[in-house]
Amino acid sequence: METNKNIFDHLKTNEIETPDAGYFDQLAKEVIASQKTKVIPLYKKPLAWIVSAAAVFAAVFLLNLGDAEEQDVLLALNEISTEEVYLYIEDHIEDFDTDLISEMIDEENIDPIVFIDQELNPEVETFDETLSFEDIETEDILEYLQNEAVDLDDDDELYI
Amino acid sequence: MVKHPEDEEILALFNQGGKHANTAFNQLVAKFGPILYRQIRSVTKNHEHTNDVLQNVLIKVFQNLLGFKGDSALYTWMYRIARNESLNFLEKENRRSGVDIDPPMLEILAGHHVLDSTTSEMISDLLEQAVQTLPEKQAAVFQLKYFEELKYSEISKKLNTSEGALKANFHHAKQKIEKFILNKLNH
Repeated sequence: METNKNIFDHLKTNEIETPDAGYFDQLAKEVIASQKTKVIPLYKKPLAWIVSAAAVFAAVFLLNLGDAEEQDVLLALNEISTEEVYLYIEDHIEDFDTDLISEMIDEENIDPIVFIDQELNPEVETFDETLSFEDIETEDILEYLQNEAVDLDDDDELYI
Repeated sequence: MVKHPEDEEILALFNQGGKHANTAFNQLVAKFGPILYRQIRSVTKNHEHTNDVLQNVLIKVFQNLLGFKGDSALYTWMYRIARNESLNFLEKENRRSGVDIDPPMLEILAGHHVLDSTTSEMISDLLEQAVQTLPEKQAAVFQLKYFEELKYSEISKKLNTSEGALKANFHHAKQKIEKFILNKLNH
């Protein structure tokens, strides 16, 4: 036998099974589609908007109903699938603007914002002067930090 | 045989962006996909793994094609990406466990005393290892000539290299592979 004979003369390649053209066409489409999916900030995601809008819409709607009506509506809402709600909101997304929601809320349903009035609440202290750290003793600062359970070794907790 | 657009046409179309880029990418995959597939499958030895690796390769090609400077031929550039991805796969995956693997890519014909004492699986693995040790250009030429059985004139177009240089590359590649295999089998 011939030892120095080229080994390639004694090797035969087997054909590698290869998918048809349709596979590569589909693969190209999948790659293109995957590259079109960008990372969208949460506030720009339609789903986040739709869910938020749905929650606001339901809340506003229920605020305007009596207890009995509210119960009926809640029961009716239970029979509507999430997909149907999404589809409805998607179709009517233009209707869910801030002005409309504002109009739908009766003033009586809005809790008035209570501002603290020092004259009515003399126990509440307010600061008339600008605070300066120079006026505060180091011991007071350390005591404050200790009371607030601030870890001095943790940089993330320190903002000063 | 399907006539594919020239590399330059594909690149020019891709650079136009939008739908043109998608069309160009489809053309690119139709043209080079099967060769890249076989190149990867000769390493992964399984369709599912080949599919995963090829998808990664194509994603990288898609993402970087705009920045392709043309310093090398388009195929050489993609061959490099496929080669790296295949090697990454080998490092990460235990390809022999739990999956069906392809039959060996080589068969041994009787008559060589060293080869007669080995198996098709072993010689296929050794050939694969040997190809990985080759310089990129030689490996690409070997792939196209030995496995794809393309004519030098066809490879010349794909790699933008003269036929004389290709013949030299293929000759050196075979020598190195043979030396590698015999070395392994004799020790």
